[in-house]
Amino acid sequence: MFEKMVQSIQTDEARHAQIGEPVLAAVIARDPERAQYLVDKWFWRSWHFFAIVTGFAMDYLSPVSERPASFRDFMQEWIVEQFDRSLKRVGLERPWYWPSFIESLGTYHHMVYATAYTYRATVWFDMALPGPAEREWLLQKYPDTWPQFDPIWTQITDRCRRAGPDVEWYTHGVTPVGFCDLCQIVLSAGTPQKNESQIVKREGKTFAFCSEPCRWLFEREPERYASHRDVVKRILSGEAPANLIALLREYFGLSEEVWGKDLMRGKYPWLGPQGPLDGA
Amino acid sequence: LAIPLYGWVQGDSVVVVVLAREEQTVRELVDLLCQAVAVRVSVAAQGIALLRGKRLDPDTSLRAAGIEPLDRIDVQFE
Repeated sequence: MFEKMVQSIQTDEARHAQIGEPVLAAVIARDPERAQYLVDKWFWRSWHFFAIVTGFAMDYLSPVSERPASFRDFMQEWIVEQFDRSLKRVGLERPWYWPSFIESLGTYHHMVYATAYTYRATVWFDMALPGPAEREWLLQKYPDTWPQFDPIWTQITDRCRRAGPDVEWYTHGVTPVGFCDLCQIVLSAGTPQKNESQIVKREGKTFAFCSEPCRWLFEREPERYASHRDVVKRILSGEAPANLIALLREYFGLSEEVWGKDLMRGKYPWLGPQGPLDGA
Repeated sequence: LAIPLYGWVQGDSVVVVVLAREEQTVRELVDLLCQAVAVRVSVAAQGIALLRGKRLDPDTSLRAAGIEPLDRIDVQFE
């Protein structure tokens, strides 16, 4: 099953790679302004999903000994440099948000991973708590940004240690988080010292955007996105329960057997003596 | 009256959504937000609340502070 899925993805992506540039060249020939907009739009939207899927896998879910490079190194070599060359070759400009994109290479997936780990029951796969070796590696690879994230993991680790093994909910959030009305991902752009999300009131409605590019994209095509209601809006309208456990069970249809947990169930050898809570 | 609010606490990785009451004080809202993110943020000092960059009086009520549903309140530490 997995092999067939990967094979299908490979052939699909190969086709995209093959037709992508000729299609772009045709659009540039007819309407270069629209071509630039489409590149700006889809590069940003792809970046967010790619950062989560690949950034998590490279910087958190692989053993340190098996990590050839950091996600940022990989992005610099395989995406930033090649994309930049491709843009020049076809006569397009870098997206207007390029400086903030480059900055977010060292922050965005770290922000979302810390959030996702502490809301792991809302997904259907397990997530790992980075230990001392992982955090040291992350510090080496991200010396400019990791010091802002390390205190978050100190706090989560401390709670994991105090809770003891098999206690999921002491290292899990229970308060709903906000979602972007454009990308539909959590409001985690920016850094732990400066969250970039924006709340915008428009025609009697309130919209949340994780970042300036997401707001910009929304405002280019509001009719496309304005009617979408995220989980928060469904909770506020009474359509979905606000209580997280009820939300998971009754609205998402997840059960304890399938929802995400800590990968090791809190039994990390490096944690040392653990719990119980009342002895902390 | 209960009002939903977006809230971000300095040091955290995400904006959360809390339900507050209009008659609560800003200080109580700060405590509510800090409690909501305690899984990720260790709070050692009393935070100050900001609405659109403007510092709010901790002793005033949310209603008197002009806080509206789905406003974003930031909690920062000096």
